[in-house]
Amino acid sequence: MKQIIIADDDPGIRDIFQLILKRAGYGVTVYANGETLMENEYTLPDLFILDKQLSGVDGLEVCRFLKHQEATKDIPIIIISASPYVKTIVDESGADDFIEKPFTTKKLIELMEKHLNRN
Amino acid sequence: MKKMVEPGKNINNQPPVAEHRDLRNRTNEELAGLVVDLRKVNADSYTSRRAALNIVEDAILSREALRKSEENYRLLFESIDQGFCIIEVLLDKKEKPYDYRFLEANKAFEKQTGLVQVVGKTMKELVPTHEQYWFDIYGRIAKTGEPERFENEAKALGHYYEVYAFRIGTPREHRVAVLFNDISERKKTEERQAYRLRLSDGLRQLNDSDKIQDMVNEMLGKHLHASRVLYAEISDDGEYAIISSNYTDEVSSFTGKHRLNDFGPAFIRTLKSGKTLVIPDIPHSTELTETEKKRYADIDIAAQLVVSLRKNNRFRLALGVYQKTPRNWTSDEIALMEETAERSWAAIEKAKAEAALRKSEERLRVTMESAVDFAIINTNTKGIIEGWNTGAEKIFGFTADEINGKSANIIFTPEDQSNNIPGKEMETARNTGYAEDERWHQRKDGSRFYVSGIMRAIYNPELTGYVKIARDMTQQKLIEQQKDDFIGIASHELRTPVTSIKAYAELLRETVTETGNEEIGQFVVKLDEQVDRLIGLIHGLLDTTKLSEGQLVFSPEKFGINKLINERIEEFRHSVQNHPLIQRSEGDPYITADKGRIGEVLTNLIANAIKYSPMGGDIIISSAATDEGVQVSVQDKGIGIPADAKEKIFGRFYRVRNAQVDTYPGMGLGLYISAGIVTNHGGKIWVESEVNKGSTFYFFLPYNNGQ
Repeated sequence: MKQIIIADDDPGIRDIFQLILKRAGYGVTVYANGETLMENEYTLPDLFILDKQLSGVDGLEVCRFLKHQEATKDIPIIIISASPYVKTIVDESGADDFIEKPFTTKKLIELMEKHLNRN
Repeated sequence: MKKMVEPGKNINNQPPVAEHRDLRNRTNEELAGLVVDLRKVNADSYTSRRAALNIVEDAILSREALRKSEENYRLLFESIDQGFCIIEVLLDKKEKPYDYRFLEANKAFEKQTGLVQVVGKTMKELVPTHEQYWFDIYGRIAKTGEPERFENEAKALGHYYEVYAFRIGTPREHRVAVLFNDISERKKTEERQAYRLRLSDGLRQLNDSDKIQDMVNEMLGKHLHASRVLYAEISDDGEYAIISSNYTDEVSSFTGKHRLNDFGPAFIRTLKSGKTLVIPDIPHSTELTETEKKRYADIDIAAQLVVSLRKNNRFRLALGVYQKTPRNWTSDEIALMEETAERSWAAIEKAKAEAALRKSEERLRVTMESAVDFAIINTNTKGIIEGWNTGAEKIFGFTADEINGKSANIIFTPEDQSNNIPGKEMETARNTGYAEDERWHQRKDGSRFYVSGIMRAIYNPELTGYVKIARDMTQQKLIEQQKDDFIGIASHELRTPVTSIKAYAELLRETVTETGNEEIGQFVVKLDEQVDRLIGLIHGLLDTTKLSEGQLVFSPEKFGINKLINERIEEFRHSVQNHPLIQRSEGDPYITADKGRIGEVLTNLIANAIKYSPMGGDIIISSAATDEGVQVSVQDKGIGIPADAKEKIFGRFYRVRNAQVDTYPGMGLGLYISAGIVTNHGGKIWVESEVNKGSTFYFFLPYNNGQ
């Protein structure tokens, strides 16, 4: 079972993501902020999904951090954002992909599969 | 006689002067007798006799020579063209000259003076008003013996003379010979020249039409010794002469409004035809009735010379010279009048035009100064400020004195200055006559504010400069900004919950499909559709704010336009029944652009075509390749767009309102965003439409201009 870590400060999003991804057959761990991913120890996932606008440390900052860690630099990261106009800065952060809110479950899963099956 | 030639007396020397004088007074016969007598004198006194004889013979001979020279002189005297006279200056008890008497005068004298049989008479007897200065000059010559050459006018004789006068005889005799020439013609020419010069000077110095009229009236009056000179303006209906001022000499003023007809129809006809009216003798004129003659007599006019001045083929003004006694106007005078009229008329017209210009300039200046909410800035062709109104002072913070003569760059932000925005603005204005933009500008204190400005190039007919009218729009801009921010934040914040709703709706749909309740399944499909619609609206709002901020980002790729059209049409197929969607294409062009965004434009135009043709009908989506790019059109047979709305429909939040049809749902953003997408790709969008016949929307995209 592929393991997914989701960081989003919106509890509604955390709930539904957990629901739909579990239904789709993934193992899901959710975090309400980005600091945990930078400071605490946790089991490395197969893919990160980070909200761009996290309260506290912003999702792009977390992305840059993870991409600079030996342990996490090869794990795919998908950034989600409520704004469609951030593609460029998302690319600069080293993220592997970007998806704009709102999106369909189908589209999200397609994107996740693309990066999970990469290797 | 013996006494004179006494024997033994040495008369070899000169005889006594008295004896010579005696001889001189003798007649020739007496002298001849004297010679015979002398020959009888005895031989002893031969020498004396001989000498005396010689003297007498010499006297006779010299008398003869004198007679001959006198004859020559007389001949000369009579035949010369110059006037010649010998006068005796008459002095009063105080030795002051008061008159002179003619002793001799030649024939030319009469011709030159018009005076006849003057010898023996005094000048004052002949011409009582002869000027005192003549007497003064001749008196001076008689006293000092110094000859004088001079030019003087003898008014009573009506002539000018050039005179050479010298004293003859003894000082006590007060005799003066006067040699003179009539130079009246030359003087007249000189006076005319002087008059012309004065007129030129006067016309050059004056710039007020009334003052010009006054000056011309007086100058002409004095030069022609006229009784009255006036400028008459003719009323628009041609019925009246309006005289605001006139020059008068011993006659009453004639200012006021006068009916032209009172002065005779012949008179008006001549002037209306543009000819100069010349009447030397009004009392004896055959062209005037007695009533008309009386009208002239009432205002002391016996002769007139009037020049008609026409403008735009109409009799507008007259310059008239009048005499209270009949006067034969000379051709010189008529010519001079016409010349004066023509030149002063030109000057008056110029003065009037200048006055009108000054008035309009003043009006413009007041207007400019009153427009305190608008900065009105004039620059020369190089962008140097030459005009700066109160509004500009208020808006930009510089006083006119501070900024005039400086480059207009100073009011732009440093970024705009380094990007040569000021230069580009002038270039656009120069090329198209007009440049309009909105941008942040900078005040004197460095603070920034948002300005909406229009610049125009001034051609006259060459480029002479620019005028820029600017308005502080900061307040409006901030409100706009707040509105955009609000829309942006709202649409952004709405996305997160909508994402959840969308996911739940999908989840619900899946679940229902699995459990097989068809009715609930239908509801869920409707719910999902409405969520999609809501997502569409949220997208639109955000796009709108991004467009107005110029932040819409495109991801260009190369794609075939026909395939995209086909895909977008297919999306409608399942939901559209009454509108056959027909695709037509010429060629299979590929363009480089943001495929998703261009797809949005197509979807929007097709959706509109369906929406605004409620009665159904074909919707034809055509594409055609041109040399520069692709032209796509979407044609419907719907309600159409009124002409006055054709431009507005591409604006923000504009929606067609139609009396027959219910208000159409939507926020009025679709065409605004579509137009923004197309123009940001370097293309253009437009519509052709007829109310109740349908509309065709076109857009053109260049082959390769995706951002």
